[in-house]
Amino acid sequence: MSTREHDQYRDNLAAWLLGALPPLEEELFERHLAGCDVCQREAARLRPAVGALGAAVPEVEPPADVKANLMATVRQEAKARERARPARRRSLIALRPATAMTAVTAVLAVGVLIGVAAT
Amino acid sequence: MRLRGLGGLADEELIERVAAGDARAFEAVYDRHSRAAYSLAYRIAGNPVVAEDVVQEAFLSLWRASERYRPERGSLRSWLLSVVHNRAIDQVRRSLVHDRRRADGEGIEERREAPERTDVEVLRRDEARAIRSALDRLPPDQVRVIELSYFGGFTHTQIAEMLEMPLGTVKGRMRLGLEKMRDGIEEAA
Repeated sequence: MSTREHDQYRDNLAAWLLGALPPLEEELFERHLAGCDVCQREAARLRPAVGALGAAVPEVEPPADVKANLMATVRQEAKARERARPARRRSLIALRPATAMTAVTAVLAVGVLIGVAAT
Repeated sequence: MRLRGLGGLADEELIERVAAGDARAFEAVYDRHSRAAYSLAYRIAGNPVVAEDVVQEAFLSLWRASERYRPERGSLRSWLLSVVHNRAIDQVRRSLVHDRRRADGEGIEERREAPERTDVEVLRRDEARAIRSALDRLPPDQVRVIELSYFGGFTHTQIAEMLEMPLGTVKGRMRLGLEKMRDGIEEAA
């Protein structure tokens, strides 16, 4: 890639970090970025400034029902995950004696075969 | 463990518990970061309903796929704010709100100021003040293009048209503005 071509991409770096590139240019820039160490370093250097912008807005308290709705969904999903967990544990426990019995049977069978072969 | 105790844990510890399905740990994460998330969503969308949707979606994605957050790439707050930013900008670009709203923060006046609660919150507010002052030190023409893009969701070509200036000038101001912001934050740190 020529220096001029690289410089053209580099000119788009700040706009890319700010999310201000139109879709096609964004795609082209990201393709360039993936293979360009210079632009990657530059992006890493400037990224904290963009991150800071998000934290610089005046704070506004979210309405209480946002948390209430969110937590209702989260608690419901947590319970569903919890219900799924003991079922798996139970099935593992249920499997264990059966697995042990299979192993004992196999050992006995091998022993019997060895005994038969020896006699 | 009581929620009070969970509130004292670092984000990294909380997120491990969230990954294990601990709803109380998730609640502690929400309590810690929801104001920053909602404030940014509201600043971008200029509409409380859209801001609420964006915040709910962002936190639900954290609950359902917490492995998407990689601690080695930055703080949980930065990650959450970038998720909120992307979703809010998507919403704004998709909706008519984009045409009606202003990029200068009009509409914020009815906000409810959040009470300062803990030392951690006070520190975060100090940090936000330092960042705002870094932004305040930029020349107005650089602040304008940065605000229109980051908070307004406008592309560089749209900004060039709106402000009737060459595209190269817009790109240059974005770059200079970010450079100065970064230097200002470093000085404040």
